Amino acid sequence: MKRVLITGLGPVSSVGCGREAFWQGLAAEGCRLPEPGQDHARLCLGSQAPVRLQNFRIGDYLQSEKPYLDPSSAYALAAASLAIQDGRLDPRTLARAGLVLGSAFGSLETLTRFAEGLFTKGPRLVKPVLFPHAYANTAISLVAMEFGIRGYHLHFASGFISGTAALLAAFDAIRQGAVDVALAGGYDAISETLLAGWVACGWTAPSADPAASDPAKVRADGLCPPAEGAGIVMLESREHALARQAPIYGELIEGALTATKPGEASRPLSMAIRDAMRQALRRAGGSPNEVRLLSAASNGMPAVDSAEAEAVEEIFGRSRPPVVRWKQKLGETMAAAGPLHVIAALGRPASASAPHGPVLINSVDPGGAVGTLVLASGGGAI
Amino acid sequence: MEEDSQNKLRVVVTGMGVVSPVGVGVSSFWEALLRGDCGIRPLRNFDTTGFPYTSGGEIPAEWLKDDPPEIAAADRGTRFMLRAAIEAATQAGLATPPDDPSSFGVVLSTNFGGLFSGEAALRHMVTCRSVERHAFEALGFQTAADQVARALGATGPRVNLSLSCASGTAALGYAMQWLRASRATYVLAGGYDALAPVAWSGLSALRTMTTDRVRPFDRRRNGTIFSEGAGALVLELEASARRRGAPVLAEVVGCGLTNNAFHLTAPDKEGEGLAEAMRAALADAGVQAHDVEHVNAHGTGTRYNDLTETLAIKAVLGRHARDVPVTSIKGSVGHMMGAAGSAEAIASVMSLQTGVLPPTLHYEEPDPDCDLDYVLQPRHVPRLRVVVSNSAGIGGCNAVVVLRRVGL
Repeated sequence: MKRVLITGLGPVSSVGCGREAFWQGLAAEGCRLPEPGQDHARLCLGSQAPVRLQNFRIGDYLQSEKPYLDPSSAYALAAASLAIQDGRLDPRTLARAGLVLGSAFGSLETLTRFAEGLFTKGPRLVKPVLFPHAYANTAISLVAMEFGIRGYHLHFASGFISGTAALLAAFDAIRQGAVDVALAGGYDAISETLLAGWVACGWTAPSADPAASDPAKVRADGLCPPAEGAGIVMLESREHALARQAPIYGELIEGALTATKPGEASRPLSMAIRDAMRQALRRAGGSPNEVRLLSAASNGMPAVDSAEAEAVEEIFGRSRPPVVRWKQKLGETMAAAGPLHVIAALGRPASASAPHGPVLINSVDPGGAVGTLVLASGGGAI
Repeated sequence: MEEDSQNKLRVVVTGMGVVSPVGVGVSSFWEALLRGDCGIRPLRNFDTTGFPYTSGGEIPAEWLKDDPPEIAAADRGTRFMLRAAIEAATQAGLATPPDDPSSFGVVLSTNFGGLFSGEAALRHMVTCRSVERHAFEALGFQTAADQVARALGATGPRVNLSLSCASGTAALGYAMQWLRASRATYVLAGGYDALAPVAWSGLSALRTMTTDRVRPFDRRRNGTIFSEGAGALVLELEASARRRGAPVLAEVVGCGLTNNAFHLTAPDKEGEGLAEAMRAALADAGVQAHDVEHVNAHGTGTRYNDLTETLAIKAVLGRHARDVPVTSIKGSVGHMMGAAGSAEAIASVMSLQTGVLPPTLHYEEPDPDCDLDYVLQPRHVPRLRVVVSNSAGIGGCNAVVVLRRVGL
């Protein structure tokens, strides 16, 4: 069975854009990877304000100017640019590479702008240029165009697990011979409509809540605020990577997607998370006591947090590995979360004494879809 | 045999369901195609005042009046998808969940998801800077997959894709990939879309529609007409289907997914992206170009698509291209967007089952640049074995599946 290596990293996030800046940003202020046996101290972003990218300029990542871009497209383009540069993939190989991305809310800002034109001015005065930028697959199309990526092509609109599902789809595509190398990841952008939706769903406080914007106040419920960004990685068959002497950060060993029966309470969600971790480990040929780190999907939503805690207890019992909650530093980055947490996990360990072993990355959508990835980091992967 | 000659697990279709502008249910749909029915009608479901185009492939309200309450309450596109999914699951013998519901996965795909209901969220945002929860959830595409999974009792992997008008075909290819990787035993793969004012306004602005009829490959063709509906297919490993005595309707043997990497709205001039998808699908299927016996084309009726698709078919099939009958059903059902690939796959399976190819409607004047063998009347091909179904979409995405008659 082909092995799939991770050969390029493209994070775009509030703590840093680009591999080194991202890792350094995570390492700052207590986000180091925990030591064996040490649970990650509960951090809080200190604010429930939406986490936006500050000082982001798409011109820093692309050579050509774009007359219009939805912010989500811009983040996806930037992350792809970073991953391609980091992976040192030449244009000829890019042409036949795969591209698999996912987003929870896609081009919601542009869709809202287009709709606003229709509602306020009528059908004959809409702005045609906006509509092609309002599709769910606009960003992936722009990435394909920008970098000439013509191979295996798939886009997920599967809520918060979109990025994780994208990585697993690219993994299977490589394993099944559809492609040798693929860019895969997730992206999402904050928009007024998205924030209004989060308030309507009870996932965050209205912006009028003082605690939402005061960094000095910590909310008791610990809800992670919505955050924007993108995470794209380069996945590659081991043979292809070695032949071109690609940088190797780690290996995507396996993964699993599960789901609840929608509408049921948290116990079935804990079962879905348990089953995802169990299946992923089984497919990877590993066992719970070998896991060296678990990246949690927990984001402060009570149903998600309690379900994941229950599933972790059931799988690991007393042998629970260190658990890291990067969302408490990054916010809830939605479709970008899974891929960004993969990139985070591949960062340098806190100490040389950190054991080798598989890393589990969990993703959970509030609607009940679950994804788990199994990684090995570069040192022990090859 | 459980595996084909390339050691890939064999994937078969065991159930189908469709909601289309020419009929609800596979039998009605198929009979309508063979009769040459046209499902384009004046739009009644929303106010078209001021819109440049006022006819489309709308599903008449009376066809939906017997929907049970739980389906009638769903978003319009989800409602179509539920109807199609239940029909497909029923035919597959999965109307009640299997013993292990976690082995039953759902892959849906769509252009606009729940935008019919989600428009209320956008209207509210424009006027009040807030949204109502139900409308916002409809904007999230995963909601439909959640609802279909609930209706089927499926707790396996559950995703929603979005690849514009290549969506339905891409869902089939991805479902096949899941099964080959043993990530599920059964997969409901479907595509859907509903006509809604925001979507209709945007589609009108793209200037790809016509006020004439949809005339795939005709010299006078000047655009497509968008439609709504849903198509669903249950895919399963052949060994599983045989073991439980499920109907085995056709084999899904290959899929190719590509992007033109050229332009957001225009196809590449030589059709090379689609040609690459066709080549990839044939290679995946282990099928040679000369074994292709029918192409169910994307055939939208636009000047550019039909020309570039013709070029792609010629590039891939070579001299054999002119011996291969080509059909587009879009003259009949219009362009069903996310459901197009699903409906066309269903038509392809029916062709394999019956040995009959449906006609391409409204073809009256040959175009010297589109000079393939277009099927103009129902055509009998008794020993039809291999069909290629093409799809392409906004953003330059292409999806192609290869289907084969079972028992070979």
